[in-house]
Amino acid sequence: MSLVTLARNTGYAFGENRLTLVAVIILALLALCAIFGPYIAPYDPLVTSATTKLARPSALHPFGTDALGRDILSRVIVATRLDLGMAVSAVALSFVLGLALGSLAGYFGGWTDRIVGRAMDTIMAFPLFVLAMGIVVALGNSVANIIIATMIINLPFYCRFARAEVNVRRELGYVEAARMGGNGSLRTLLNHIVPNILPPMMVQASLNMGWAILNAAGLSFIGLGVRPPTPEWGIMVSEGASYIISGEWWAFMFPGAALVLAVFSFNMLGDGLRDLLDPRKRV
Amino acid sequence: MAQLEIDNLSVEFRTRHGVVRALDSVSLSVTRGEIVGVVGESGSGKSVTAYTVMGLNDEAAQITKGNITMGGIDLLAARPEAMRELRGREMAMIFQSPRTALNPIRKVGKQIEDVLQEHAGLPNRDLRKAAIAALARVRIPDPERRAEAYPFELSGGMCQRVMIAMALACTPSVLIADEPTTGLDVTTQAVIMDLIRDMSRSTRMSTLLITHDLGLAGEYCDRIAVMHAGHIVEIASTEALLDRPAHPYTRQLLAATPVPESRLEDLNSIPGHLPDLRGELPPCRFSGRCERRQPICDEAELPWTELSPAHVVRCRFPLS
Amino acid sequence: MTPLLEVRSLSKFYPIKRAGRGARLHAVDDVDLTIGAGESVGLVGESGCGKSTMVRLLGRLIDPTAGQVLLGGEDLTAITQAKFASSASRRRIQVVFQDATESLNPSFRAFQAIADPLKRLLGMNNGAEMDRRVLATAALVGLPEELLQRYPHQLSGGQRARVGIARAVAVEPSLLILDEPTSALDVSVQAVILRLLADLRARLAMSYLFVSHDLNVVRLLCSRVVVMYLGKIVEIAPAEALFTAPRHPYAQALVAAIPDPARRGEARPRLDGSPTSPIDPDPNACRFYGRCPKGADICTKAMPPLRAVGPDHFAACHFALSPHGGIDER
Repeated sequence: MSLVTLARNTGYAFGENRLTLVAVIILALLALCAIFGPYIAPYDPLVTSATTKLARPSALHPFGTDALGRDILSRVIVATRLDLGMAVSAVALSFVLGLALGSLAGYFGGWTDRIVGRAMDTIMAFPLFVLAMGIVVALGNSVANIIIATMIINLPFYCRFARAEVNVRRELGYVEAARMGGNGSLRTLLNHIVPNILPPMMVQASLNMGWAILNAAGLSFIGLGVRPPTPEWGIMVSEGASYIISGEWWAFMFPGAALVLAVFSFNMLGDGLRDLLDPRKRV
Repeated sequence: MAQLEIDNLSVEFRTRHGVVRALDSVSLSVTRGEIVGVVGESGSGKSVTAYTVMGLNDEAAQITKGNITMGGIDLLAARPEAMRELRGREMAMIFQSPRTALNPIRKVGKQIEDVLQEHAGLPNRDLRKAAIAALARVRIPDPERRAEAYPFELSGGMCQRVMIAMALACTPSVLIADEPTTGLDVTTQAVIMDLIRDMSRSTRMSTLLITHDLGLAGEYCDRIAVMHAGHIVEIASTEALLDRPAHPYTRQLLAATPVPESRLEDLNSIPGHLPDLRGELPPCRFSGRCERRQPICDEAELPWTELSPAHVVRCRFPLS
Repeated sequence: MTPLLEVRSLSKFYPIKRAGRGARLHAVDDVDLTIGAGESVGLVGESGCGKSTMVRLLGRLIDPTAGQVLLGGEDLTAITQAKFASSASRRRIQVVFQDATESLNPSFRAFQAIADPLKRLLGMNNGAEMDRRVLATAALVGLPEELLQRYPHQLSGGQRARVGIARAVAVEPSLLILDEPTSALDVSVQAVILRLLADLRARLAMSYLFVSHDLNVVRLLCSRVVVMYLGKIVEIAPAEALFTAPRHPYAQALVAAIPDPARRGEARPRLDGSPTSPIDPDPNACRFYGRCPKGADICTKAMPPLRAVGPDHFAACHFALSPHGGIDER
């Protein structure tokens, strides 16, 4: 797609879908927080204070403070880097590995397809979150292992999608023409087919990001992976949950809202991308 | 008296790239038992005409002027429920790609029964027999067994016959066939076209045959209307159109269509390309490609010239 | 004089999974064919006759079950199709595909599409030489230079057809197989493309195998026509002879079915029904028996061989040999 058409279609996608524009703005803000978090946070997220424990949201602490007196706003901002970082890494790894395995399976069929298929079936046989928990427990409690666990349980999603997309294109004229033109099987797959399946796969990746964020946060929520005092939305929700009954709602609400906002924005972005890549959809 | 009459029809489509003036002042009539061919290339508007008659256009379509009457009924003024009643009973359509136009998960016999149940008002116990009779009418061998088949089990030609059976189940007075044999082998095409022609004659049905194949129209149609870029440029009896074409486009189309006697050197192509139907259009949409073009062609309103009662052409300088 | 292409006893069978019987679908069955240098041969037949399989076999996209394909004496089937892609002979046979099957890569600009085979088959590497060659080929097929930077969806049907042709002839093949190259084009554009193809054949000294369902077009472009039915060749004849006096009943039905405005209103004999099954057909019976308007006992006992019925004219029918259309009892 040429740049001009891309720009025009972007305009349409945004014009017809205001939510997409909102989503992009929110994601841009989140990205800013992720990159510049420590510099824009008003307070040091790790500094505790016995005197301002569980303070209500106020001008001084717009999001209030938590049970250890730390400023929640700062912690939410700084946590963005970790939450988004874990999700983006996991999705990127899943994407690449799933694309590779799925394309090979979809193009060559036969034993490649059978082996990859059984491997994916094995992963999907487990309730995915439980599997993620199991992997983190087995490998050890660390951010890297959260990423690995999230990557593994996300793999079948990309693998199946790539496999289906490659399968559909395998018999098309231009693939045969590529082989006529001297491209071997692997080169045909890589240079001729994969560039065509990347756009729909990116839509999937965008829709998958929200899920990946929730997954990483969820593992932290139950105490696996990220350890306190590291600021991370999942842990913060977990810590704040104990105070709902006593009425200190801000401890869990703001990190929870951040999660919701991030997930929502990625989903909206995915929908918008889908429209962008298929301009024939609307009259 | 014409069974189907399209009078001065203009249709526009609102798209994100602008308003497409798909049809402009299209007028055509079909009498009982007549087969009229609508011939044109891609973008000529022939399918849009068919869909507008059947009331199957999507919401982006707007009929800006004109009338369509069938047997005296004003189709454009009819309410959706009335149109639904008419479709299938009084007017029917058969489509290209028969295997995809049939429901893939329903037996073909049942699909015909559905049509009969909806429109013919037969009691349930008679439906199956009527469906089998419909299949027999289109000369499908072993109709009792074939009625139990799914579309994927039948060949393209068989599927097209099933579609014809469905269309003709309630003996409609108007049949619109939109490229019914594109994609079928030439031997199957001949059988299907013979069938359509025979059924048209025997039930005195008005038939509109939409095709890009001028040779096909030449063999099966009584009259032919040639379309270009949303205009009808010429209507004449088949002999008159093929032997004495009056519109420059018709003549070029004939010269470009290979027939058994053609030679490669004589085959011509039509210069230029279709005008963009979204922009400013001259009164004659062919003028940009016409070698006989004069300045007045781009200024004054395009007249209908009647060369004889049955031969009209939309051109200022028709060929003699 | 060695013909350019020689096909000997070529067969392609596909195994069909049926309850342990090893059933096979006979897509192409024991076909012999030759194409001379500079010759244009047409291949016609209904869907399921095996012409698409022939395109893939001769284009070396699939391997035959049996038989050989010789190009200028060299046996192309000696290596598998996977290895053939990198052999020096790959460039000698090229295919122009149907536009309708998405024959151009949507993410490649026209320039890249034409350049790719030059890179792979002629080892050109994005240099000035390659650019020159791409531009020269584009000029040869009448594709204006500014269109080379466009993507397929930005090109018209005729322009896409030209890109497909350019891609195939850029490596200067000896044999060009054309699979319905104009069937998706409007008739106004078709004539130009057909004349281009005729012109190119002369200029680049290629042979053509032209596959089409449009018999009028085949007649325009080909000097000889091969008719296939259910995997076998049933008639080979010079183009004029086939269209004026076909000898095999199937070919006769085919020619009679061509729409002809001059024969309006005439009731002509039509070929109804469908072909018999291509799965494990009886090797001793004519495949057309049952659907054929003619038929005799011998048709079920002996497969009619392809025999000469005239100058350069062969038909595989027991009725075809004797001039008055009776059965040949030999």
